[in-house]
Amino acid sequence: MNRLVSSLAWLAVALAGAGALGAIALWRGEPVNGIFFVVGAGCTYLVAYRFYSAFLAARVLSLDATRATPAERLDDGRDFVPTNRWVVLGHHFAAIAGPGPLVGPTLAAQFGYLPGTLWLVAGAVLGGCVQDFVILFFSLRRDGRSLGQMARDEVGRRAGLLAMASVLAIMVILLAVVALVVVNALKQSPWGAFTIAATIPIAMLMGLYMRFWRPGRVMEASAIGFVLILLAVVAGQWVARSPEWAPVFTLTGTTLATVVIVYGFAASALPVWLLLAPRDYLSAFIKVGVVLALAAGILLVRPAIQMPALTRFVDGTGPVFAGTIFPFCFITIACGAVSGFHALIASGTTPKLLTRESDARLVGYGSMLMESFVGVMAMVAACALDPGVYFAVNSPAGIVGATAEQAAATISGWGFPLDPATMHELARSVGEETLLNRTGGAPSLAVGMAHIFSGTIGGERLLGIWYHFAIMFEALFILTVLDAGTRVGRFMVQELLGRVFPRMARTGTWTSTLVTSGLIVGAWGYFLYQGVLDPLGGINSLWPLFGIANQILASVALVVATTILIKMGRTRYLWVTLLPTAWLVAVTLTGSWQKVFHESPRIGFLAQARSLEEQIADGRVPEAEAAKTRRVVFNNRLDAAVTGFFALLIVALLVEAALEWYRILTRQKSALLTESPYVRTRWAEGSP
Amino acid sequence: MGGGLAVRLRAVLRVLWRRLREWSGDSAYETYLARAGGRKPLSRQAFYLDSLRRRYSRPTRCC
Repeated sequence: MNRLVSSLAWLAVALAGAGALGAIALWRGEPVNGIFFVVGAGCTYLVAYRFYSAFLAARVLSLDATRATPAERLDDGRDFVPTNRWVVLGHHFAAIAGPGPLVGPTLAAQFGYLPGTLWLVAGAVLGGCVQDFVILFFSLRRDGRSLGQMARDEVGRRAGLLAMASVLAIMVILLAVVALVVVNALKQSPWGAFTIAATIPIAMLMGLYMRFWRPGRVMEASAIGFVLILLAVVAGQWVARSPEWAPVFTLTGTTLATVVIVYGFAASALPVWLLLAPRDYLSAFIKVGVVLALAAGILLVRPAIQMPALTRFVDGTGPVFAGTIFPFCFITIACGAVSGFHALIASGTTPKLLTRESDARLVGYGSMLMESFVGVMAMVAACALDPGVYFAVNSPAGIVGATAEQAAATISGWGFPLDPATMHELARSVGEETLLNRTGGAPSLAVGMAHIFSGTIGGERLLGIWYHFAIMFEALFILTVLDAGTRVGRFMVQELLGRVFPRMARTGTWTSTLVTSGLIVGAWGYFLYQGVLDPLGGINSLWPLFGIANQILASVALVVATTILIKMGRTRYLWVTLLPTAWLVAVTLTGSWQKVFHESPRIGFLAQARSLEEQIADGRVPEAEAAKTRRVVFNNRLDAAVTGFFALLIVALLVEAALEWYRILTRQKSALLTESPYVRTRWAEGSP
Repeated sequence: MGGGLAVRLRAVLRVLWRRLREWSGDSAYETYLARAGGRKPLSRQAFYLDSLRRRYSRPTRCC
């Protein structure tokens, strides 16, 4: 009887999900409501978790509840600590959820709401969640070894080196692009710049509190920091209105880029307790809080979706970024569906905290479902905006023009009616001079979130406060990614350089710290600066580069996972990792090829370089602009080289892995696993 | 009946508070002390600095 009730309940969930997704796919005419997105995605996640992740856990991976985890065997109260699974889920989610699932879907909304939403849901349940789950499990069986170490141990030394090179290269592009998102959100915005600047002394105060006055009291310091940050958000409007202070915080893109580069260097070199850690604590609290608030806001406000299901830009002529749905929608969505970077977190701290092997299902598969849901909410927030406003905020000046009148004329000509007065009024209502040409996704998401939040609390009167709260929220955790990423990048450079110059490997020395910090900050700072100067807005070239890099890292992780599955003798289930790998390789190689060789200058880096060179040769570029244009030509060639390097990385790794698979499957080589030996858990008979 | 509900609610809130402290790292030192056994444990401050050093030497935040 119970079985029948359960089957009927799951059938109802499946039908509700299919009905909601069917409605958003097929409904035309009246605007579809955002609730359909929540129900469609939510029910799909429930069914996928209940059935597909159970299949992965039982059949493919054979999770063993009697096997002691590293946290139990090596429990030291520091690195290895058996922890409640819901707490680990919270830890892991806070670690994996960054700006990607917010920015990617916002940018991909230019195709309409449908392609991005379907990929967010399908990509997560069949690709992203699988990757996170299997890598977490394999690292768990290897005492928390990193992805690079597993690649070396299970595939080969060259594969380990390729994995490490791809992580470092991806880190550089990731840091550049997230920094560019912050710069585009804060340029010419004294309110936003003041609020974010204020987070630095606030974080330092928290750092001193937790270092000297109340060591390790994270909750107390975070509560103090949160109150001070709210005050800074409110005070920002007075700064923006002050004739003395407003000019101090009104910064151009290039000035802001320089400030962010100097800041990144300082945050990497300063003691971690002073700035990085306190900001990270604060950002984790605010991140989880805002995600929950956004979910509640969408349920309460039930916003109508203004964007059509598909726009004319499915033909590849989109103003936000150029390129057709395949492959660019998938590359742009990136982290909300599949993120290679998660494999670094899943093979790091998290496996050292799991109490039981079976917890890997909730933490690995479940947390990625949550991240995908964040992406769906970002899509709802972006598509609830008037499409004319969406395109005016997200399109670069080089495409729609720099004034509200030019932008309104261009965007109305595309079939999305826009009155210039709407843009003036919107900017005024959120306390900004202008919202035009703010490519990068953060400002349009903030406008969308501000509308949803102000629909719940405060109404139009608080729109400005909510907008700047949302900008602060996005910038805060982007800067945390920047701090932490630069620091880890520095350690990786130190390790690599240390192989040639042993002095450089000493992480404690000032020379090594300054040189390696300078190298890593110089690398991402260069790409950031070129992005700011790019006449097409920078996001057009850098975000696809980041998406390609991220999806290539996911392919690396899935290739390592496939190798381990072969060694475990699970060849009949290889499709669970091979199908997403094949899809990601097809997407990334097509994307790389098009970004390098496509004949359209807006898509192909080489075509763009050629087109600009021709303009210089024909005398169409004014003398004063010639030097700058030559730099853009060089940068396009550099981007082409970087994209080619990424493509070669994955091809080299695939060849390396395929040879290893062939040797094992033809028994030329024995399938030696590097798992830790089995130890029976002391909790096998009852609960801990 | 009302009293029983209040007791149950307090118990639920206590568990939530404990989990929140574990999640944020607020109770990390207490967890460490409970496992120190016969060894001379680090001071609260030394433990805090050591945990930060270990945490931020590998990827901790994602994109």
